[in-house]
Amino acid sequence: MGNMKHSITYYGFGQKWRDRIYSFEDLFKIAGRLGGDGIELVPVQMVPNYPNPSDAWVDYFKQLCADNNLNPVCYSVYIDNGMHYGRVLTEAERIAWTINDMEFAKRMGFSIVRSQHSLMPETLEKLMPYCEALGIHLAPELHGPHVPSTPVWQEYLELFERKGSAYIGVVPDFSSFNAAPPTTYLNTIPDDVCDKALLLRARDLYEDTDMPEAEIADYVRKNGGTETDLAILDAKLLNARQHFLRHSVDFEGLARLLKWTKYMHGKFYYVDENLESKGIPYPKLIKIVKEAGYTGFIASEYEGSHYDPTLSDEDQIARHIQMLEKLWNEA
Amino acid sequence: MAEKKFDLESLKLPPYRSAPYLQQDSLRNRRIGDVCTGYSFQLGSMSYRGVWVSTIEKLELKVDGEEIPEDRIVFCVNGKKFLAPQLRELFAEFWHPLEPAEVLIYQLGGLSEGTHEVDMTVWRRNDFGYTHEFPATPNRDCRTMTLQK
Repeated sequence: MGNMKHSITYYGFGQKWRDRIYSFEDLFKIAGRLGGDGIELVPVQMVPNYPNPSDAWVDYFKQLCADNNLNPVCYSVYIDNGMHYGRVLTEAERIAWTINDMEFAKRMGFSIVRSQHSLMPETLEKLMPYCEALGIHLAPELHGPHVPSTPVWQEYLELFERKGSAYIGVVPDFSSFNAAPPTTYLNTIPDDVCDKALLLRARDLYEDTDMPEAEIADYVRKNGGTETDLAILDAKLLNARQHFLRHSVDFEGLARLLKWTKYMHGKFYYVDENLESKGIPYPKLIKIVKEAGYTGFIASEYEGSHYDPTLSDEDQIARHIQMLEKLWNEA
Repeated sequence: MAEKKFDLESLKLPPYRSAPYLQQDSLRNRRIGDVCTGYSFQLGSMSYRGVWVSTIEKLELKVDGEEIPEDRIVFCVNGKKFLAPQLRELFAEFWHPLEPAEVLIYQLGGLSEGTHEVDMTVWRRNDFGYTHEFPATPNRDCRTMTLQK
């Protein structure tokens, strides 16, 4: 049975990079300390003059990788359908800008380009000759709120099966398998505003039991919850802006995608001191990935600053890598 | 537990930062030699990944309660100046997340010394999404800013 490889995405350091706590060069030093087998870059975020970085900048990037013994693996791009007033991108634009991205990815030493579902299957098929010629694996990302059964992903699967090519595939993001919010989901709320112990018990009921949501609200009310507690429960859990799948996580859907996967986003928000990341069913997901004989990358994609900006991203990513190793060995 | 006053509406905001974006110590009069031709302030990036300027559909601005007409709002980014109604055409201008943009208002004499209330609303579309609908949504930031020397 194969083994996964670890990747560290610089996206996870985005908050501190944007706040100028980290320089771009700091990210290479941190990634070097964390180890792993590769790095991921979101060029629109961090590359000066994107989508047309200079030759000098490309050389600078490659030198930073060499100096820190880092392997560039995944170059993550977007399909910016919102950029034009009154219309989405045309297919000609999606093709041209994706070729441009693949050219820069190749020049910078990346072998995988992560795109978005809105690239569209028929466009991905037209890009295959460029993928093959450039030696780039081009893979749209399955990201929440999409799940494997979302119709466009059925079309992608049909394309993958029909072509059987190693140059196209999917990057599953664990947001598409996110059952519940993390245990840090109340951390940005002052301690004296609500009964956090009670609302954390409600979170556990939501993730670990089949209790209907109305009964979870009743549980909070009957245990002394105030109107503020109930409002927070509603906004952060029961009707949160981010949709949680609770007990409808499509594990079989992930298994079907793995044949076409070389890279996935191990999205996470918090790994505790016991190496558990509640909310996303990591033990079951990693078991499926291992049983499929997966030998690709799992990126430690940290988004915990959404819930608690005071946590150390470096410590969290280190824990995530340890957690993945532990779960892989136990699976 | 006693109920504390808490802005429950804040829970509905996106987890990523779009506001506040007004840069607190950036309000300055614009001086050309010994002439003050107006005033300016800076906007921090509105997305973790930067934004296409063309996604900005409308700017609304009140300074000390007085509405500034949109065609008097000059938006400065990438070393260039544009009027607010032109922004939606700028699909080749990318506002990098580390580079603040500047809003400039031409007004002879500028602002008086002291504090001023700046109330800004940026209406913009998302750069990408999960449907083909890209409605512009308002991002408001209002704060009292001290005119810098």
